[in-house]
Amino acid sequence: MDLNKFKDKNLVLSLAQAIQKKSNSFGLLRIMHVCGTHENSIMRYALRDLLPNNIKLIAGPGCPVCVTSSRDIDAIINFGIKNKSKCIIATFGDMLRVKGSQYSLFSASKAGLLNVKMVYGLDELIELARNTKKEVIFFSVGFETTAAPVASVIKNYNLPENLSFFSVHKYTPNGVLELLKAGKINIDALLLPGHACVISGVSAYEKIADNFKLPCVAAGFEPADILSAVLMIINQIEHKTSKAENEYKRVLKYEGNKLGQKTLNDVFGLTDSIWRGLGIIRKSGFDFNAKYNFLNAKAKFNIQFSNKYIEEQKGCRCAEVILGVIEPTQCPLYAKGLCTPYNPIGPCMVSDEGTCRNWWEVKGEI
Amino acid sequence: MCIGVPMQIVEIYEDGISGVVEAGNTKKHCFFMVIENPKVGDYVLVHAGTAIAKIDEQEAKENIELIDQCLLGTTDGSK
Ligand code: SF4
Repeated sequence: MDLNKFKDKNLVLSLAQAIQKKSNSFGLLRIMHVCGTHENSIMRYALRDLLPNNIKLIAGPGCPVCVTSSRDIDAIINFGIKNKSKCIIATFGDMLRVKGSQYSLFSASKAGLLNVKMVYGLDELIELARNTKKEVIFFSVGFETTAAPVASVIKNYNLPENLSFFSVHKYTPNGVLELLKAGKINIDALLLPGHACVISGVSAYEKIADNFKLPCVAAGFEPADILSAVLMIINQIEHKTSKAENEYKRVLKYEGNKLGQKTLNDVFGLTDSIWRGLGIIRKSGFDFNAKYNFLNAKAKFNIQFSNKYIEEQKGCRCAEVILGVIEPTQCPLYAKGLCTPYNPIGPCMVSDEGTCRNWWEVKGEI
Repeated sequence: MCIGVPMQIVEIYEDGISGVVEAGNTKKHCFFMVIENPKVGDYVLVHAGTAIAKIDEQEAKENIELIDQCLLGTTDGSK
């Protein structure tokens, strides 16, 4: 299947021109996206440079590892240290180097304090558990895009008995809704996360579009996708409407993936959850329903949490970066040998989806 | 983390819920538990080793038409 047309130079330039032409009809237009992969595309294709000065693309809380609380990271690390001989902590690569109060899973493992294994996919996780007698705990991170696959494996697969899950999954629509309600984000429109919407549906954002009069458009990840979504937002503004629309039709159904949603709801329920730097957000996390609680590592091992934890290392301004209040380069620790992907201080510099990391990859040492 | 990769189904195992997907010269194990009726030859979006959506050739064409409509300014917030 040829998907190259979505990055066709002429198409991208005509979209940029069309946006430019319309941009005199309104003042400042702040469009927030909530997806690290969008930030990645925006930086890689220098899309901000193609937009007029009055249109701002703002990176919001779109990186699941960035919003994983130190409270959870500390709990899994402390459990792993106390039970080193009996257990292996598995997780996705992006999570490894995110620091909790003191250690990241990577630094604690490097210091020989616990056993950590990185997995790329859930098949590898199951394989890992099958090939060891130790307990394998999956530190299960990600938005609904990842939570649904995890739930599907839990529901449909014959899992080894020594495998359990520590869920730090988050639900994007409710996260964004509560941040808007609390007045923590100040925007004019939302670019919805294409892949998270594959599961939740664009429909999950209707409430936001209605209640906050915000045009919302779900977009794919090629440059033509993102610019057309911006144009769709502008068209909504011209027509004085605020709806949830779908630009990413080749992949995304407006109502989302019903089977994925059902699987997710069968296994997990929504619970209040701490988002790093943003505090507790109502009904924004996924935790086990009673039927599957035997796979919940927190319950199975009575994992202890401490309320003394450090979300932000000294000087790190990730919370402001996540809310789109500042740009990464406004953090005094950005690059300059202080905070880099080789030695990340805050979570935003770790994952490919972290805003600081995405800026560093393109801008490097400024 | 939320990076989804478009891949083509090249094999479905007997269990009906897992198999192999391919993109370029890379083949990977994949679960098919959250898509309806996976078939060999289908294009799917793969995330965390799981196909989370089918990608439709016809809808890819319609997607381009949608972008053309955007350029003409004829989208107005309808689904
Ligand atoms: S540059 Fe580093 S320290 Fe500064 S906000 Fe980003 S991650 Fe935090």
